[in-house]
Amino acid sequence: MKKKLNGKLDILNILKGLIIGLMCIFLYFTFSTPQASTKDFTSVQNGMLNNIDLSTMELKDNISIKRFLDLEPEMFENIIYYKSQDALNADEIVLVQFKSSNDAKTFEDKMKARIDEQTNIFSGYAPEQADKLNNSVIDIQVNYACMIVSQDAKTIHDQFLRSL
Amino acid sequence: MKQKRSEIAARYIARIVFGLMCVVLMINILAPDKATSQAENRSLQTFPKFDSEDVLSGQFSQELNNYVSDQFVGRDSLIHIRYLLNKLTGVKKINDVYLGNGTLIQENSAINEEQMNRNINAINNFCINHQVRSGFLLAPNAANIQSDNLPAYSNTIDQDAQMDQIFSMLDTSITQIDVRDTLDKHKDEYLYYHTDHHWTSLATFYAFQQLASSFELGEVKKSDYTVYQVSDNFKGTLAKKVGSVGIHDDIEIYVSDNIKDYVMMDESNGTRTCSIYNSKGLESSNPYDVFLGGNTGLVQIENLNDSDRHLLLIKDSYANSMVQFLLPYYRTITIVDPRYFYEDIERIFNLNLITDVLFLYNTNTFVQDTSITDVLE
Amino acid sequence: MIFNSLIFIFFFFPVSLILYYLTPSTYFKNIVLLIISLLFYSWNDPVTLILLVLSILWNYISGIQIAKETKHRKLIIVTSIAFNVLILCIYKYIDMVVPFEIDTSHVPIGLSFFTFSAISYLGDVITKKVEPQRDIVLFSLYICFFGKISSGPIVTYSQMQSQLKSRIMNRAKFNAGMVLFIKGLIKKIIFADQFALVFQALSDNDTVLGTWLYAISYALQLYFDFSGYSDMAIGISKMFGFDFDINFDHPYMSKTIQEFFRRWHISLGNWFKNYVYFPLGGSRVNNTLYVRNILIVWFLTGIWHGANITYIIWGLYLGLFVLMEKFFLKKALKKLPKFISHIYTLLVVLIGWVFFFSPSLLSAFDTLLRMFGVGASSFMNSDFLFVFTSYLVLIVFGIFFTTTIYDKLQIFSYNHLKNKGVIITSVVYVVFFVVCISMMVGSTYQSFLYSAF
Repeated sequence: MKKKLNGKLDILNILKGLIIGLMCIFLYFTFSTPQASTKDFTSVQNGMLNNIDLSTMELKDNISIKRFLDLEPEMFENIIYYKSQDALNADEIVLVQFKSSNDAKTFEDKMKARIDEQTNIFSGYAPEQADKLNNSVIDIQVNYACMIVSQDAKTIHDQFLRSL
Repeated sequence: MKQKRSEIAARYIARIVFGLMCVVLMINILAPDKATSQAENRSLQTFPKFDSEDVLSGQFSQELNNYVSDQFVGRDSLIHIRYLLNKLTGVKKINDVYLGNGTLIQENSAINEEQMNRNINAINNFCINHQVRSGFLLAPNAANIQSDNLPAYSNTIDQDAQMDQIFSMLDTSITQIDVRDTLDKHKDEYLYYHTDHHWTSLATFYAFQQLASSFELGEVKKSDYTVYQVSDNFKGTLAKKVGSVGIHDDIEIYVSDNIKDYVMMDESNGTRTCSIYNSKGLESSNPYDVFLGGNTGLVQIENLNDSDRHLLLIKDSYANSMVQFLLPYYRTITIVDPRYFYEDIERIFNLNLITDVLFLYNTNTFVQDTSITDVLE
Repeated sequence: MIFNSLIFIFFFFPVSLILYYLTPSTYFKNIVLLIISLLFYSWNDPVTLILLVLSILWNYISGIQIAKETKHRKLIIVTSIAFNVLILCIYKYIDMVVPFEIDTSHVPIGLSFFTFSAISYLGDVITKKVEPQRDIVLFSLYICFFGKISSGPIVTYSQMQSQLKSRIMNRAKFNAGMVLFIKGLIKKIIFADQFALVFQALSDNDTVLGTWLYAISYALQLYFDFSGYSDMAIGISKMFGFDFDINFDHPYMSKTIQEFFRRWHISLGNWFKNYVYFPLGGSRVNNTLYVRNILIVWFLTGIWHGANITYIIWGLYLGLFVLMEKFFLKKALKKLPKFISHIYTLLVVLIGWVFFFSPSLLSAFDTLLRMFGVGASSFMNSDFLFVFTSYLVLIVFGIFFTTTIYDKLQIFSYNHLKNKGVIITSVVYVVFFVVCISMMVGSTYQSFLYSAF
């Protein structure tokens, strides 16, 4: 009788031990937050675009940012926008530094909308460009974010992450 | 056993309210989703896509909450109930709109210092570089001129100080057209719409008289115009913000007796018309669009008169009701709204042989504008 | 998911009721209710469901373990309770303790409430007041029933135990619950949310009257918000057959601070009384220990509300008055006319709220000093008059509804106006229900590009 009791209790204690373990894992993931980057904008920009050929791209001005990306440049601490000089080429690179993390959502939504819009335009008659858009990168970090449409999207993205 | 009265009342209440909940639930499910709200001038949340990532982050349920609110049956009418409750209990401001005597008045805007300084610098540089006649007409807003209509004890931002500051920063080569005193003389007249943040054609006329004198356009009398009332039931932006009941406006147009034929081209969408008055705009949810059909980046007007002056008008929506007065005096009028303009302003300037440049803004928009600098530089 | 939202009132709530009442037998009804409650809990933040489930399982197992006479029983008791306390402390106080920035945006809803419910359950099992609940469905329902999980009331297991297996569900209860729900909704939407606007509007007013109105509007906002939500919770629960005790009983009519806490957040006061105060000995000890017990309870009451020293000061400040009343103040007050007691209580409570809403002790003292003329720019200004005249009707009605006059009026109308009274009451409730809906729709109404609420 006593043995049976002990057996049952052991199961309960094992279960409780399991619960504690799960809770610890759960709490760890809940409270671990990604950290903001301490790097300044220029160094992130240079790091991200290191060894990337920008000769066919053009650095666009605020009006273009408003027009093509539907973003207000003033809402960000820093923003650069490279677009291909060729109208039939979908290549674009956007790097942004947020003033506040609340802007991240807006930026993400606008970038998704831009990719969708471009995909609609290019799919059907320029499969190469459509592919690039399919493999495009939108990455939102704590205080930096980027959008990349390019043959070298993966490389540029890796360099972006490393430069943070 | 005799039922307690409270139980009888509870029965009625519960049945009606539970019934309402079910009926509204049904209607909300069955009624088709609306994509945009005319009244609020924005797109409405449609049923969110079911995406496992979104569900886990709580994004899906947030969008679902917005969806239910945005698509709620009778939304636009329910807003009136809120207005009435506020008005009847003596509340005098809803968000940033004052509920004045039979009129709604927008709170004055605060200055975005950094941005405004850049804009004024850009304006100064532009005018200095182009060496033609330049003018800056800054229109005051209703809370400024008609402050008597504000509810008691209101404390608005001091717009006069803002305007003094702006004028003092302008380059001396730019003609300053400060219409505050002019409008003040007529402040008991119908200068500002009761339900909209724009000024009326009457106020625009008084401002134009002063502009005509500053720009040496000639003498202007009210008798030079035939005034037509194109709407007697205009409910503008402020009415929509607040859901007001029982207040509405008239819209008047001033057609000059000295006018010749003209052609208006909206360069943004390539349309051509022979009238600056847009009937579609008048019948839309924003009837102020009767003037020019609303705001677009670039509009070109060519008049068949024998003037040798060409105007570049850089503006916000307050200038829309000013264009009707400018028509007889210029061979061409090139209208640029920097918020929607993506072209090269130099090219436009040279192409149209500009002789006069006029900046026309209302103070609330000007102190918050983020587009002027980028367009001028 | 909150009670005062369109999606709850016009989707979740009616659908839940329909599903519940269509289900036969209490046994299946409980299962349906449990599923609904879990869905309710995970609505905004599905990840927190994990924590809720882990907590339920832990306490379920603990209850069974404790009831057995085994060795290590004391250890089991301590660890079982400690688990709950630790989880609560981690979520509530972690950013006080840790040097780097912590993402505190995923705090599980109702953590303070259901954790306290769990601890009360364990406490009752320990003292053998109740048998442990071996049915996991019934136990889970006790912890996470959506009617009370988000903001209470903190219902003790002994109160809810008999109602889990079988409860009375009839039309009269359904109707009464609905009326209570609407009453709570009106308190929240028409009073609390509007007083919040007054509070906001006066936040930078540094005149004497402005500061007084600032504090008073907070006192009224907090009361209507909390008591309104409690009414909604108890009303909803009633509609599913559960009878819970009231949580607020016209606290602003109290004559002493002791009385105030028998009327404000009653379930919390009872919790501290039964599970901290009495185990410590309560008042059946010598004076020194008694003072210690009171101070401990009030310290904990303060810190339960939040991780800020202002809450602790608030708690201890009230504890101090409880002590003063016990030792001499109450006798002194009895000799004075009743209205002096009322004013004394309101003043003490109001000053307490200043600590409660201030972000720091410094700001609390600034506010208090300004109320008494020190550091104020003037006695009043036009901004104050603007707000005061705008919301005068709200203030008058708000104060009116903190008293018991409304209830007496209600009874009067039933007795003397008879059927007319019934009609009037019904019309008033339905009309104001619609007004609440319009306010809720209005708060999501936005022109131009304001960010969503």
